[in-house]
Formats: sequence, C-alpha cells, structure tokens
Amino acid sequence: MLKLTNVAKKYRGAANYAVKDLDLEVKRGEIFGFLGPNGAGKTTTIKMIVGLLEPDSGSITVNGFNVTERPIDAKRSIGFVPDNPELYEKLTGIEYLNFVADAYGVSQDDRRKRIPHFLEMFGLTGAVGDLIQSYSHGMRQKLALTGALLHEPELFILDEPMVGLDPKSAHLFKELMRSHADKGFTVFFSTHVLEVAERLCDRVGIINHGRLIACGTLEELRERSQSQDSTLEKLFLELTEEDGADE
Amino acid sequence: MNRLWSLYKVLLNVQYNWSAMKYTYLRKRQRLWEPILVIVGLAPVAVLWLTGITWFSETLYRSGMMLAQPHVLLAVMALGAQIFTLFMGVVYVLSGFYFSEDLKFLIALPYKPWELLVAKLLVIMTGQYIPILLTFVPALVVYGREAQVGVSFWLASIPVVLAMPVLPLIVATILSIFLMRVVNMSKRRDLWAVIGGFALTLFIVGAQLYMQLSFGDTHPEELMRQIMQQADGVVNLLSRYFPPSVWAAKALAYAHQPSGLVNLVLFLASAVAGGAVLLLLADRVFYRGVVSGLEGRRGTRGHSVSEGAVRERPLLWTLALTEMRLFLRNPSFVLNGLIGYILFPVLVVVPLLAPQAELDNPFAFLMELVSFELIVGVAALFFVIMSAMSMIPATTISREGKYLWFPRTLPIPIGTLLAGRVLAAQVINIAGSTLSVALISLVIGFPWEAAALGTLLGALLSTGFAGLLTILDLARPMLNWTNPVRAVKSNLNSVIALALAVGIGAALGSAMYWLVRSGYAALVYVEFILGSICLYGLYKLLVQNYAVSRWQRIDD
Repeated sequence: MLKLTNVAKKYRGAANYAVKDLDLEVKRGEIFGFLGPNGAGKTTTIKMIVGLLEPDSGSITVNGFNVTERPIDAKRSIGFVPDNPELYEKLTGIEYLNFVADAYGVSQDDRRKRIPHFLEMFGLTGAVGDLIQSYSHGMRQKLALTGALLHEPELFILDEPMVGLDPKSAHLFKELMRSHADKGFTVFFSTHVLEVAERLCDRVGIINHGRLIACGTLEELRERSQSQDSTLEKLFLELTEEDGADE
Repeated sequence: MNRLWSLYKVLLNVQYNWSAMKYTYLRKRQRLWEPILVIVGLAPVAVLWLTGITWFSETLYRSGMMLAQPHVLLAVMALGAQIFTLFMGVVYVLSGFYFSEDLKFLIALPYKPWELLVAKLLVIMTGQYIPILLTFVPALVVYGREAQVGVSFWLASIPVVLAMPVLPLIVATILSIFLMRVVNMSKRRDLWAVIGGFALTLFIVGAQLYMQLSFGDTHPEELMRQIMQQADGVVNLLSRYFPPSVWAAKALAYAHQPSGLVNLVLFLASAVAGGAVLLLLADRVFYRGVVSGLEGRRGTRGHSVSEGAVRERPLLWTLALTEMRLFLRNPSFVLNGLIGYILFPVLVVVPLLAPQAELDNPFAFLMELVSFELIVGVAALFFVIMSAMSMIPATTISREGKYLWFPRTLPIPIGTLLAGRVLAAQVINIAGSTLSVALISLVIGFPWEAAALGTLLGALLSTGFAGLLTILDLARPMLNWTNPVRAVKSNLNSVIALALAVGIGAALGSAMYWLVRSGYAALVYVEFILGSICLYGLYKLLVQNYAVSRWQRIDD
C-alpha cells in the first residue's frame, strides 16, 4: 500500500539531511506506528507521503502511484490529519465537510450515510452549523478526522493524532483506526505515546536522525534487543540511545 | 517608554515581515531575484508617479501664483493627504485593532491598554507615511524650489510631515472605537463591522465631497470677491473641510514669520489634543471593545444535520463557493478589497446630491468629449482595474496562510484549483463592476448599449487577467501573517497587480484612442477581444508550464 524506497530530504540551507536512505513498506490492512524523538524526521516523512514536500531522491508510492509523478491519483487514496489541523475558520463544520466530499468525489448517497454517522460518533452534530472558529482544539481534530475519512481512504495517515485530546476522544480515535484497518484499509500514524503504539500497532518503525533504525512487530524488535519482556518504551530508549552513540 | 518602543518595533517587524525577509534574502541568500524583480518592476511606476505629481504640483503652484496665493499648493496637498489618511484610517484601524489575530496574545501580556493602543496606532501611522512621502513631500519640494524658500521652511516641514497623519488617524480610531462598541453587541459582529466600516468610510468621503461641492451655496461673485480680496482666500476656504491642513500649509508658507510659528503650534497642538482624547478613551472604551470582540461566539447548538445541508456540488463551483465564503466572511478582506466597488459610484453620485445652481448634470461635458467606442473601452478597462483593486485573485494563495496544507493535500490539479479561484474572483468582480458601471453610466448619462458592451468585454478581458494574478500569487505568496490584513494590504502582489492593470490599461487605452482618432473605431472591439484571448492564453500557458511544478514545491 505504501512503499518508500531510498528516500532522502534535505531542507535548503540545512547542514544535515532531515530524512536519509529511508526504505519502508507498509502492507494493506495493517496499522503502522511511526516512532521517533523530536526532530527525528517523522513529520518530514509524512509530509513527503501526502505531497506537501518533494523528496530530493528516492521514490514514494501510494496504492501503486508514485506521489511525485502521479500526485493526484496518490492523494485520492490518502486521508490525512496533520498534528495541528488548521481548518478554514470562516466555514461552518458542514460547509467544510461538503467541500471535502466534493473534492474527493464522494457521492451524495455516501455522504448522507457517512457524515451523520461520524458527527454522531464524535458528538459534533449540534455544532456542525457553527463556524469552525468557535470550535475547541479537540472539536477541530474530530472534524478533520471526519473529513479525512469521508472518502474511505485506502491509506489513512495521522501525524501525532493523540496530542491535545481528552481520554474519551483519544479512545474514539484508537477505535476508529482499528476499525478502519479491520475493513482492509491501511493506517499509518506517528506518535510519541508509546503505550498507544504498543497496544494498537501491528508493526512499528523507529526513525532517528532521519534514518530508520528499526522496523517490525514488537516481537521482532524484542528479539533484536534480546530482551523478551521489554516494553516498547524500553526498546525505544535502547535503540535511539544506541543510534546516538553510533553517530 | 522602552517597553512601548520595544512593542512598536516588534509589531512593525511582524507587519512588514522584516525578520522573514532578512532571513530569506540576507542570511539564507535565497530568492534574491524577488527584490531585484520588484525594484526593476516598480521603478518605472515610481518614476511615472513622481513625474505626474511634480507636474500637478507645478501646475497648482502656477495657478496659485495667478491669485497671488502660491501656497494653495501646500494647502491642497496637505488636505488631500489628511483626507486620504482619514479615509484609509477607518479600514486600517478596524483591521488592525479588531480583526487581527495577534490581539489574542497581546492582551495577555502585561501591557496597559493605552500602550497597546498607541503601539498599534503607531504601526498603522508608519504605513501612512508612504502615501505622504509620495504625494505631500514632492509638493513640498516643488514649492520650496519654486518659491526659493529659506532654511526655516525646511525646518518647519519636518514636524509638519511627521504630524501629518496623526490627527486624521486619531479621528478614524475614535470613530472605529465607537463603531466596534456598538457592533460587538451584535451576534453577527463580522457582518455589522463590514457594513459599519463601509458606512463610516463612505460618510467621510461623502461628507468631504458634499462640503467641497457646496461652494454652490455661496454666490459665485461673492466667492470670487472673498478669494481675491483676502490674502489667503483660497486657503481659508479650504479650511472649511479640515482646518488642521490649512494650519499645516500656513506653518510652512509663513515659516519665517511669527504667524507661521503660531500655525505650527496650532497644528501640533491639535494632534496632541486628539491624542489625549484617544488615551482617555483607551482605558474606558477601547479595551472593553477589543476584549468583548475576542470572546468566542458559539452558535445555537443542538441542530441536527438536515438533508439539505449535505449537498453535492460540481467541483469547480464548490471551489469557487468556498473561496467566496472565505473572502466575504473575513471583514479585513472585505473592507480592504471591496471598497472600490462602492467608492467609485459614490464619487459620481455625491456631486449630484450637492446644491448645484448652475448645472443640471456636472458630468454633461463628458458626453461631448467621448465617443461610443471610448465609453465601451473605458468600461471594459474598469473591470481590469477593479480586478486588481479587489485583491481577490492577486492574494488568493497568500490568504491561505497556515491553511495551505489543506488544498495541497487534496486530489485536485492546480489548474482546477486556480480555475475555481478565478471563477470566484470573477463572480465578485463582475457583480461589483457591473453595478458600478451601470450606476456611473446612469448618473453621467452614457448610453446603456455602450455600458452593456463594455461590461461584456470587461468580463472577458478581466478573466484572463485575474488568472494571471493568481499565477503571480502562486509564484510569490505571502503566507506568514497573523493579521489577515497583511495578506492583502501589505502584500506586494497587490501593488504589482495594480501596476499590471495600469500597464494593460495604458497599452489597450492608447491603442483604442489611436484607433478612434484614425477613424477605425469599430476595430476597438477586435482589439479588446484579441487582448482577452492573449491574456487568457498566457494564463493557460503558465498553468501548464509553471503552476504544476511550482505548486508541488511551494513549501521548499
């Protein structure tokens, strides 16, 4: 579903690569957690996948479409929620959702089923006629999530989805990711909350200094570190410190 | 005082993007072609402007000399500068004080209300020195050169120029403060702010024009007697509109005499007195007005999603509709962008309302000067000028600001995105310009057929032009802003757009004039249709060969 081959990105004027020699493959139907310390290259990688940044070298394919050569086809397969979803404040919630549905070509029948379903689930039904500028951070995030799921994307990408959410909303987000993957779609998300990744992800990738330093199921990572009872947090610290010492 | 100075410097920096420019152009040495292109592009416009204003000032000086009152030049230019500041002041103050996002964190800082008010006002005032430098200062230089003035004139000119925008801006601020106190009580604050802002601006312009044209009330012979017999006849008459401008003129003209000093003191004292009133109002009215404006407004919760609310629309129309909603619901965009559509008809209508004993239609002479084809052409070019003045197409990407991530992740080709934005810009431009042209034609008495043909050609011509302006903004968007007014008013693309519109107007206008003079008036239509095709063709060419790659790398 998602394949990154030898991807590299260096920001103009920067001394180091933000992402270097990144190879990664995420299969259909799995939940993939993308972990790493601050400034490791998680958001840069996500931005390259969704078409906000162009890789300097390497290739990224989504659902078989190269994101640089066939960006529109690739974007059609993606639903994206950024870490801080800045939504048009002067639109009402329903205007925003109608716009997104038109942009992704969601049929009238589908949107009539899906919009009320998500709004009900997130408790946004009563607020959907208000301007987004009156929404709280959590409400905006839920609206962004609704918009990203309207076209039932084959690849659902979330950048730090748990930041700023109350426990109930965080639980809802996790449920949604699971149910989306259960339908055979793919979920790719970055997070700092290692417990979430540990409980939710089928596989995780750990990026540090722009390089993927580990990738696999939790069992595979444990085998690599030769400590069978390690938590993801311990493994994460061990791997990132090890990588820091190698540098 | 240091705190105020520091706040002023930060706000000024943010307003004009200095740190970002220094970082990009000097530290990173990136996109250096941009400032070079801007200087090269604007230099001819600046030269043209300065030549024009110098010629105008010299003419006014010579006319004043004929009445033995050469300082009419100073009075007229001071009056013009102050009225312009007053007129623009309402829009700037409303945008800067009430619709600026930086207030959210400025209010939380340990600054006194008056310090915030003064710092923000100083930033607005700093911006007002640009039109003063471009209009009043050249007039000063012309006067100084022609009248061979002494050192005292140049010394007096420094405080006069510095104090020039103070009083009009204070008046505009006081009016805006009261307007927002009323508006903030309403649930639809943004809408009433726009309506109130337009009404206030039009009232200022209308009142000035009305007073100017009310000369008709005075018997012409009496008026001439006053002008000829009094030493400052014309200048004193001008004082009926805005007395401080005449004090400024007299402070300069009589700089070498005690009366000059008296006028200078009067001029500066009026600014200080205005400032004192404003400071008094700062604590009592301004702060409460701003804070109540910052209160979140929640609609009536509890609606369910009705069947009609979930609606599928054609993609192009949904893009245009969203663009129009985002523009029209932002008071800063509307106040700055749409004022032209209202201002021009008002400038034509007000003279008809003023007491005019001699003339039934003050524009009747125009009908004898222009031909049918010239009316058609001028109406068509009006659409082009208004497309630039509205700033809608020229700032379409800049206005996205922090929201740019969103359209960039949508599966919509940039050509379609731009087409939606051009459609939105044209819906507003065609509606606004058509109303303006219709009203102006009705008042002046132009044949309706010419107005209709001009509207049709104008709609065609401005479509390609609007497209080119969207490409311009795609090429150099201004995305880092906290105050929405910066995205439109401080955006150089708006100035470049206007320069382009003037250039196209000059080129097509001269060709049209030549065709009419040479007896090929019918070819004017061909000229405008060809012009429309060329502009639209160039836009489509740039979409295909530039916009796609630029859109992918716009964040790099």
